[in-house]
Order: sequence, then structure tokens, then C-alpha cells
Amino acid sequence: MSGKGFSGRRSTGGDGADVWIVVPAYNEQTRLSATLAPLAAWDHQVVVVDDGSTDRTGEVAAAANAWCLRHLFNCGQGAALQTGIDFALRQGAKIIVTFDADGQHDAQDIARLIEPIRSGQVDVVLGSRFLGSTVGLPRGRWLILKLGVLFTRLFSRVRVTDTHNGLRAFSRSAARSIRITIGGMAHASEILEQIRQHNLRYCEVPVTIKYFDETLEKGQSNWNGLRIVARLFVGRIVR
Amino acid sequence: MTPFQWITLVSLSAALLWELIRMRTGRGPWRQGAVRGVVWTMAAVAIAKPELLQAAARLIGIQRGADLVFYVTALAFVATSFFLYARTIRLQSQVTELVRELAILEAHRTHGLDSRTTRQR
Repeated sequence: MSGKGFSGRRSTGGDGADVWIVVPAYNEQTRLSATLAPLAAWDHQVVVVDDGSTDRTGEVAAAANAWCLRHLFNCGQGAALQTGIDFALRQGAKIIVTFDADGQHDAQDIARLIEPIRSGQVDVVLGSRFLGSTVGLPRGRWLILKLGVLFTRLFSRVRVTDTHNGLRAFSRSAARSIRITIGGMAHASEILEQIRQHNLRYCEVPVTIKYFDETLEKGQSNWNGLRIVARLFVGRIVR
Repeated sequence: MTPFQWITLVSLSAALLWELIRMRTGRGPWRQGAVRGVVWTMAAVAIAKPELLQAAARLIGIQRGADLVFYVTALAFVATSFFLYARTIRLQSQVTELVRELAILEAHRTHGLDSRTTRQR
């Protein structure tokens, strides 16, 4: 396999090439290069899944020397993640990290995410902004996220302190077990549900999430939380 | 019989005949054809013999035959809507799978990777 990526980079231990960072991106041409630049400092493989963007997202990803996959049209973040995960698995990834394209995540957190998997303690590591820290989190969003946690505990029966956090890491076997079928944002709850269904060992690690005005505008609206709940219920009926 | 009854009965008979021909010649799913045939037959009976519809309505505690038709239509609408929604979701999943697979195959082609690996999971 021809390695794609950056030279002279830092390592999180082990063979960095076996760690794949999956970055789903939709119309992120303005933020993507800033998101990818810190990732370039590490010796990991980065795959950007351009989810049918109508802007230059794909070109920006290619310019950053990342693997770039393109959906013909917008299928939703869940579908983009699954595409990136499938691709990484087929390239022999041993650890897969999911990382949002909008610059909310901190690349420094990846090492902390990977470590419990490398040491064989768990199969899945979930980032938690409530164990870590947030910058610029609006009160309305805080409330919705807390309700999401409560809902997840009741619905998915997985004890987590944060939900719908895009920063996670999967071992190869966990990534093969989990199959994201919901294209939209409800995929985060689906992942948690499958963690329970497959009896995967998981833990949470503190991460930092930074909120910006433009990402809040583009991101999920508070009402979208209700849509996610509805989609999950429908998903249980329609398989 | 009224002109309305004549027109609708002829139309429904033609629809029923069409379903029978389709089923006999093996065109289209047999079960769906049978269900449609039953619906056309019931509609024809209700129009030709309204007193039967009225009796059926009274039998289940509804005063008028027209109300029975309304309730059945409302229930059928809800059931059909759900069926179509479920079908749309499934179709959407299938299309998404296709788009995802194409993206991976295209990446292999672009980067000169062995496409045989794309089927491994």
C-alpha cells in the first residue's frame, strides 16, 4: 500500500501507519485545511470523506495530502463515517479514530484516545467533553447534550457522560463489528447501541471541544435532537 | 342503477379483469394483484349494493355506510403512508450503500490500489 500523508511527524507509539483518522466533511472548504494541519503533525493516515460537498472540500483534502473519498451526493455524516471506516479497514487499519472536519476537536486528544486500545484495555474509546472541557458551549446546547446523555442511558442503556461527540477511537475488531446504518446525525446513538449489543469494552477519555459561531450555525440545531430521537425510533421498526 | 353506478362498475370490472389477466400471465407479484382484486371487488359490491355496506356498518356499530368507508380509508391511508415511508428508508439505505461502495472503488482506482481488497471486511 502506498502510504499517503506527511513526513517527519510525531508518533503516538506503535506503527503510526496503522492508525487511521476518518474525517467526514461536508462543505468544509473554509475550515478543513485548519483541521487537517494539526493532524499532519502525527504519523497517522488521514482519510477525508467528502460527503457530496458542493464546494472545494475535496480539493482542500487532496491539497493536504490526505486520502480523499467522495460520495456522489450528500448521504449524511453516519454514511461518510462508515465509508471512511470501511476504507481504512480494507487498508489494514488497526485503530480507527473519527474526527470532525469543522475544527471543533483537538488533535492532541488523539494520543489519549488511542492509548487504551493500544494497551488492549478496551475496544472503543469515546471522547467526553464533560470529562474534559469545552470552549464557547452555549447553554441551550449544553442542555440538549445533557438530555441526549439521559436519553442514551435510557434508550441505548450505555453509561456515558457525553453523547454525539464525534471524537472516538475503535480497535479493528470493534470497527468491523459496528455497522452504521443511519446516514444522519442519529448515527452517534446507533454506535452506542451497537457497543452494547456487541458487548464491546469501552471507556471515555476527557477531550476538548471548541465551539465557534460558524460551526454552531452549520451544526445541529437544538430541534435536530428531536429528529434524532424520531429517527432512532423509526430505525427500530424499519430494519 | 344510476349513471354513476354504471360508470364506476364498468371501470372497476375492467380493473378486476386487468388484475386477473396479469395474475394469469404471471406479470407482477401474485399477492399484490390478489389484494388489489379484492379491493376492486369490495368497491364494486359497495357501489352496486349500498344496502350491504349499510348493513355491514350497522353490524360493527357505525350508523352510516359512508362513515364506514371514511374510517376504512383513513386507516388505509395511515397504513399506506407508513409502508411507503419504511420503503423509502430501505431504498435510501440501499442507495447510500451504493454511493459508499462507489466512493471506495473510485479511491482505489485513483490511488492505484488493488481493488480486490475492497471486498474484504
